[in-house]
Amino acid sequence: MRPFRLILVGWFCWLATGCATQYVLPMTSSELVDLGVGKALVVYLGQPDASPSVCDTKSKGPHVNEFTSDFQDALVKGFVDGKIQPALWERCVKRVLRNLPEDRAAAFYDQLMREHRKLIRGSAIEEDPKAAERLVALQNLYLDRRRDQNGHPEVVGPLFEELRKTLGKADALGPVARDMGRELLATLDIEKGRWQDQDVSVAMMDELAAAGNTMTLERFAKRLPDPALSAEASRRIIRVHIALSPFSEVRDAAQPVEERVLAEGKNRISLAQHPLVRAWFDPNNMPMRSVVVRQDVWRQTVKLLGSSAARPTPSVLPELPFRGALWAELKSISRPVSVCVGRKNFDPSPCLDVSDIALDNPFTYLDRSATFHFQDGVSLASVVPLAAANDFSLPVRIAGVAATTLNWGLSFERPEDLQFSGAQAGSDGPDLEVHVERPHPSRFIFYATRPSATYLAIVESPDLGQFRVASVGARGYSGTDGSPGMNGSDGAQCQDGGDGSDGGSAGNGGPGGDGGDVHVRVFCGQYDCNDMLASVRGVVVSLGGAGGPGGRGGVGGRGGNGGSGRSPSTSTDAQGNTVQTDAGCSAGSSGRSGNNGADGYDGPNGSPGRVTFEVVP
Amino acid sequence: MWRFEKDVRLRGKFVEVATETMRRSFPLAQLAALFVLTSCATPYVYRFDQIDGSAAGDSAVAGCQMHEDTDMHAELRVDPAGEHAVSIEVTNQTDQVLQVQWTKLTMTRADGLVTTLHPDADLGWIEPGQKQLARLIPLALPASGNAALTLDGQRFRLTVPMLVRRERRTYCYDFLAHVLENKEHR
Repeated sequence: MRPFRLILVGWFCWLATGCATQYVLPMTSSELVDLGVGKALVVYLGQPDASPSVCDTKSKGPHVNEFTSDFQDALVKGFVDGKIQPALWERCVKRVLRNLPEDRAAAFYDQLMREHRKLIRGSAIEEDPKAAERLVALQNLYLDRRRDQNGHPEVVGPLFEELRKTLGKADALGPVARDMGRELLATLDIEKGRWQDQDVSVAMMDELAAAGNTMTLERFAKRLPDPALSAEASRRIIRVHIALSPFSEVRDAAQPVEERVLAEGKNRISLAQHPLVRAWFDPNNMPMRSVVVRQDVWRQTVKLLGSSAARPTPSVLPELPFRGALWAELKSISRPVSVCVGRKNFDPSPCLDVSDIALDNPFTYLDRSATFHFQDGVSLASVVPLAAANDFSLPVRIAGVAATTLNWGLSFERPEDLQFSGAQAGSDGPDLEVHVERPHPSRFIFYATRPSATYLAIVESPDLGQFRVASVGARGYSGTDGSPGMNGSDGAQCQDGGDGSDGGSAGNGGPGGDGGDVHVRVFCGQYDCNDMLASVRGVVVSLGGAGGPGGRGGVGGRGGNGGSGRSPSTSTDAQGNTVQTDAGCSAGSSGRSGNNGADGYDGPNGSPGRVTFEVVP
Repeated sequence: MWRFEKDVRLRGKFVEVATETMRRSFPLAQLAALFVLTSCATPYVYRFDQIDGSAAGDSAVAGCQMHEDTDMHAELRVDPAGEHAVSIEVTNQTDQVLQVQWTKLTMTRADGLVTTLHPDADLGWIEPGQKQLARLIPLALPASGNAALTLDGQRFRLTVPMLVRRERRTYCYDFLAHVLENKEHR
C-alpha cells in the first residue's frame, strides 16, 4: 500500500509542477492583456521595471480589461507570497481601487484588512523587513483611501476593535506591530473628527501649520469627514509649502498662489508669459536604460526591452515620471521648474503642465500624470527607422518648441535565422529575393521575399557570423522499415522447430530537396560595395536538403523451438521377457532464425540553388 | 472462527484508537518540537556602528550627501535597546527653518532591499538652532537563527531627504551591523 501511495503522491507532484503555466519572460503589458489571467498579472508585476499602469482600467496604455475576482485574488496572493514588491503592489492596487464600484471596493478593502490583521498579529513583521514593508503598504492603502470608499463595517469594524483591545494589553504585540497599530487607530480617529483626544478644529490646524507639521495636516486633509475642515487642512499644507518654497515669486505672491493651488492642485506656469529658455533631463533623478529590440521575425513584431549596467538581462522598459527628471528654465522665473504633480501634493512650485509637453517618438506616450511609457505590440517594420539611429532618442517638445532629447542606448538582439525550406519532405526550397541595406555602420537589414510574403530582420554587425538567410531544400522522406520475418513454428514432440522467415528489405530514403535560387541585391548606400558584399556573402545561402534516412531492414523471424524428446518404454510379455514397446526419440532441434532484411540506403542530399549577388551602388 | 474475527476486530479497533491518538497528539508534538527548537535557538542582539559610506564608492551614492555640512547635524542610533526603531536627532544649524521629509526616509540593506521608515509621531519643521528627536519605525530585525547571522558585517544605509535653506538635500548615513549573542536571554 505504501509504495502505491508514494507513487500517487509523486504523480500528483509531477502533475502539479508539470502542468503549472510557464510564461515567457520578459512579459510586456500587451502580452499580459492578451493572457488576461490573474497569475499572469502576478508574473508581470514580479519583473524588474514593471509598470503599475496595467492595473488601471482607464489607463491610456495596455491594461487589464476588467478587474475580476481572479485578478483580485491573484494580486493579493502574489503580494502575500512576496512575489510583488510592496511599493509596486501598492501603486497597482491604488489604481485598481480608484476604478472599482463601491461594493467591489468594499470587498477588496475587507480582504486587504484581513491580510493586515494576519500580519500585525504575526511575528514575521518583527523580524522580516519584507513582511514589515507589506504591513506598511497595506496600512498606507487603507489610510490613503478615497473618502467614499471603505471596507464593510461588519468586517473592518471588529478588526479595529480587536486591535484596540490588543494594544491595551501590555506586551501583547511586538514593537513593530504596536507602533503600526497605534498609528492606524490614531488616524482612524480623524474619521470621527478627533485627534489625540481632542476635536479637530481650525485653531488646532493653525498650531500645526505654525509648527510646519504637514504630516498631521495631510492626515486631516485625507481623512476628516467634514469637507470644509478637510479643505482648511489642505490650505494650511499649502501655506507650509509656500513658506518653505525656494521660489521667491511664490513666497512674494503667497495668497494668490495658495488660492490657485487649492483650486487646481498645482501652480501651472503660463508658457505664453514665461517662454521656454532651455530644458534638460536630470540623469540622477531617472532610471537609465538601454533599449533592447527583440525581434520575432516570423510574426514580424518586436518587443522593446530594457537593460542597464547593473542588470544586463533585459526586462520590460520602465515607466519614467517626468516630475523631477525633466527640468526647464523659463523666462522671468527665478529657478528651474519641473512637471506638475498630482493635486494631492499641494505643491506650490511653479510647474509645467502635462498638456504643454509632447513626445516626438512613435514608440512612447505620455500619460495624464506626465509619466512616459513605451508602446507595446510594435511591428518590426515600424522600428526600421530606429536601425539607422545611434541611440534611442526621446525628443521632447514644450509648448510646441523642441526642448530637449533623452538618449538611451539602443541595440538589436540577434534574430532567429530567416530560413525558408520546402513545405513537404523532399521539396525544393523557395526561390528568394533578398535585399540588404545598411542603415547604420553597425547594422544591416535583410528583406527576404518569397512568393507569398516579405520578412525582414535587423542584425548588428557582430552578429552577422551567426545569422543566416537561407533557402533550404526539405529533408527527403524516410525510407520505410522492412517487415519482420515470421517466427518458425515450434516442433511437436520429437520434431524439429520450423525455420523463421527472413525479414523484409527496407525502403531507401528519399532525395533531399534542392535549395532555391536566391538573388541578393546589396544596396551599398554610403558604404563601400566591396565591404558590403564581403559582409553579407556568407550570410545569404542556398542549401540542399539532407537526404532522407534509409529504412531499417525487417528483423528475421525467430526459429521455432524443437519438440521435446521421449524416453524408450518396455513391457513384459507372456513369457516374462522384457519387450521394448517404444524406442523413444530425441528432442527436435530448434529451427533456424531468418536473416534480417537489408537496410535501405539514405537518400541523396539535395543540391544548393544558385546565389547571385547584385550590387546597387 | 468467531474468536479470530473478534481478534481482528479488536486489533482493528486498537489500530484506529492508536491512529486517532497519534493524529490528535501530532500538533502537540509539533508544538513541543517547536518549543525545543526555539528554546535552543541562540538569541542575538545588534550593534550598528556608523561608518563612512563615501569610501564604498557605489553608484547609490549619486545624489547622496555622505558628509554633513555646517547647516545640519544628526545623531543616529539604530535599534537602540533592541526596540526595532532608529533614533535620530536632527539639529538645525541654519538661520531658517529646516524640514526633514519624514515620509520619504528609506533604509537600504546590503542585499538591495529598500524599506521605508517614518517617525512614530508626526513632526513639523525644525526652527533655527533647535533640535528634533524622532523614533523611526518599522525596523524589522531577525532575533535568532541564520537570518540574523547573515546580517553580521552587512552595511545598512539610511537615506534622509531634507529641505535645508529651502533646498532639497539628501543625507545618507551608513552603518555596519554586528550580530552578537544575547547572553542575558540564554
